[in-house]
Amino acid sequence: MAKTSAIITYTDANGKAMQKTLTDINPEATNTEILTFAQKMVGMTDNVYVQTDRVDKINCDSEASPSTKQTPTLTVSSSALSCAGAAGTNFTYSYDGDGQLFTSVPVCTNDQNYADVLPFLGFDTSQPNTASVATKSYQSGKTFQFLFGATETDNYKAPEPITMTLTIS
Amino acid sequence: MADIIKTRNTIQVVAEFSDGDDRTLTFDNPKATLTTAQLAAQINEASAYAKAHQVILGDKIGAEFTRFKTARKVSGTTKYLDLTD
Repeated sequence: MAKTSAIITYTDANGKAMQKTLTDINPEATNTEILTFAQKMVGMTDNVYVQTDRVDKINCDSEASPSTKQTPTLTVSSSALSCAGAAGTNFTYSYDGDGQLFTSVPVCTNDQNYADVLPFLGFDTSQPNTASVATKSYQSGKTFQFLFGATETDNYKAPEPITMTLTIS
Repeated sequence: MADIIKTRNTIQVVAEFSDGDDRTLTFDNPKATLTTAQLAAQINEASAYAKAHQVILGDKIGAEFTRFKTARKVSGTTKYLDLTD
């Protein structure tokens, strides 16, 4: 657990800038909570509150630096797709990370329409940056929603997944 | 030249933690306009906040903050002696 302190800066009755350190601050306390507590304590005095700084002490011997992972870019040619019943369609995408691409649908649903038509993703290796989605549904006009995303890796964070729709024509 | 007398007031609150440990927090210059009852009320309010939000922890094993169990208003007087002939 990182050791956390708070340094409260205030001006005393003589106009002198003073600082007070509170040690053993809960590392899980939010900055707002630390600030509010500091203001309550200074509020009991005739000193004038200036600011509160949070200091987290991190042991360099045991803890690695915060993540320096890059944020990748994931884009699609179109997020609104359509296909004929029980068929599929392609879309092109661009992704500059090294994670695994995936599609996902909500797990919990009582709607049989969703249960029958989980879209699945395939890649056309002869066409770079092209993905395919297919459905087993014949329900013309029905629109299904799915997410298209990429996993986090050692070098890249997970990008914000794209919400896509597939409409049965 | 006469001796100079300076008074310094501090609030000392004793914070109690769930492992029975306690710690004293000191703040100088308590509000001169507050009565001791008003000061106690403010300390109780800060205590309730610190308990609800668990801002400070015990220093030995990070035990949970329970309450401010006692508080003192301490007045210290310093008399600067006149050493002139």
